[in-house]
Amino acid sequence: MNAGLGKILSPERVLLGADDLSALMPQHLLVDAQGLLLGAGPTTRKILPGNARFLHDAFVITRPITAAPIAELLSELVESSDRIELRLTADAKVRLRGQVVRLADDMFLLDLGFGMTLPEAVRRLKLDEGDFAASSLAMEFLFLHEANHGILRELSLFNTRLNDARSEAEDRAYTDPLTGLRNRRGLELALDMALHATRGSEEARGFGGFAVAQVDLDHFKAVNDLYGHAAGDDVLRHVARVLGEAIRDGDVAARTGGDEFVLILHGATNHRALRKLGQRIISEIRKPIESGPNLCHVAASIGLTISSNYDDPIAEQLLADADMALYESKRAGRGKVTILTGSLPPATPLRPVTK
Amino acid sequence: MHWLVRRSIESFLRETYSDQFWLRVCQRSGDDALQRYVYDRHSIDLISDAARFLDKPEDDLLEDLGAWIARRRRVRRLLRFSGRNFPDFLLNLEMLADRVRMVMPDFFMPRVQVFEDGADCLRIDFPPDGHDWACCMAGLIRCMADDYGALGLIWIGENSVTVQISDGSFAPGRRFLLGGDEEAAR
Repeated sequence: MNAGLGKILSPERVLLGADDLSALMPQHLLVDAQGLLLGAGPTTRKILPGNARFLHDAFVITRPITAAPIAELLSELVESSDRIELRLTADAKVRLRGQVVRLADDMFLLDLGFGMTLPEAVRRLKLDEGDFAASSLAMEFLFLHEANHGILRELSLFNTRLNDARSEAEDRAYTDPLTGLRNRRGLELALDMALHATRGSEEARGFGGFAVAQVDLDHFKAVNDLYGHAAGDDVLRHVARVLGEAIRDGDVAARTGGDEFVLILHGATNHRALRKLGQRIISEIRKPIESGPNLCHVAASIGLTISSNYDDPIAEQLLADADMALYESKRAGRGKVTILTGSLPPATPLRPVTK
Repeated sequence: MHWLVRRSIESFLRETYSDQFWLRVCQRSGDDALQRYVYDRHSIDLISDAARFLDKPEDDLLEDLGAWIARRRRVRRLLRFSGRNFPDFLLNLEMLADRVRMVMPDFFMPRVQVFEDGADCLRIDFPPDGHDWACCMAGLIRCMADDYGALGLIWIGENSVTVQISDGSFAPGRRFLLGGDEEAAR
């Protein structure tokens, strides 16, 4: 192999005492041709049952697979230099593999190792550093095994926290801190998603239609002026609660300005049902609101438009048209619900569906 | 900063002080920038801020961090793999950077050299700008001395840590089982 080594005279035979053999190969076994155990290294002794006399008392040979008697099997392994693979009879999870050499006619030496089952074997057999030869990589293997586990665990915890922080930050970015409703950015996102869902096939548009409602408070400024901003905040929280209770799961309520709110109502295209919903919201908002010692009174007007009114609805148009309907409600004396239909002034680029 | 460093500092500050304290350290540059900011920051800036809020020398906080890291059960086990006893552990610190690189190739840890520095005295030398590492390592070594049941005096130099081992086996030390779970084995 190595040019340098070629000049060194290797002795034909090396004599090793049993102690030296155990020091070099703590996981060895000496057996005779019948598999009778003649000797074992200190680590192998730890895994042998106390009453084991033959190889097959302690081990099941898993490779090579053969029905041949043990004597034949050992001789074949010596000639072919193939590995022998075994598992503990008492514990199938501990597997070993090794090399067989013939020391004398009737004596074979097996040097064994745990291979990939090392961590399992160390745990089950309670082995420690002294059980492995100094040249063995067992310690390094175990170190890597544990280090990998630890790092993967930390990494997944780190990623979880990172994701939590990210979604928390996103939630914050889309939420109105005072009322917990969505803010304008949150509304825009929801509106885009709603529009996206309505695009595509005719059926999808039919079922996927939605209404956009602009809700505006009346007399809100008066409450602020009369009772202060804390009372104003109480009013806004009250309105948010009313809106939150009025809408269904999947619908969206947002606060887009001081006293302006927007709702996205999915699957709500029936005028009568929308009008009823709007009136219920208005009557709930109209109830007196306690704020400290004061009772605050506000009212609300609502304007709606429906996505199925449009061939190709876009967000700005829907919001502007709902706003126009809202203006109509205010003009008609406040506390009203207006749903945009084809009868509105043609000042908008709207193409109304005549019903 | 490497995610593991960030996670160590965060966990250390959260556990030793409080979640609020950690948020305060992060929030230095204002609420809005909090999230992006903390991921971009240098680890040593986090330590500087924390030390200032605590009115504690930065070196001391780094030493606490090192000791805290070594007290983690998993880390402690990995460190115990490095040596049969405390002096052996110290000598093998030379291999620590290689061990770390083997598990995390993207994690930079400076190589150290260990010298015998008089009787029962070992000096661990860091590269020229390794003072922060030295402080952290001193805390870690202090904790591991306890773990091995050894008695040692530790000095932090500019870029080195010196350990005087008065007694290699002062107390029995904590058990270390290769197969793990010392708690259950007790």
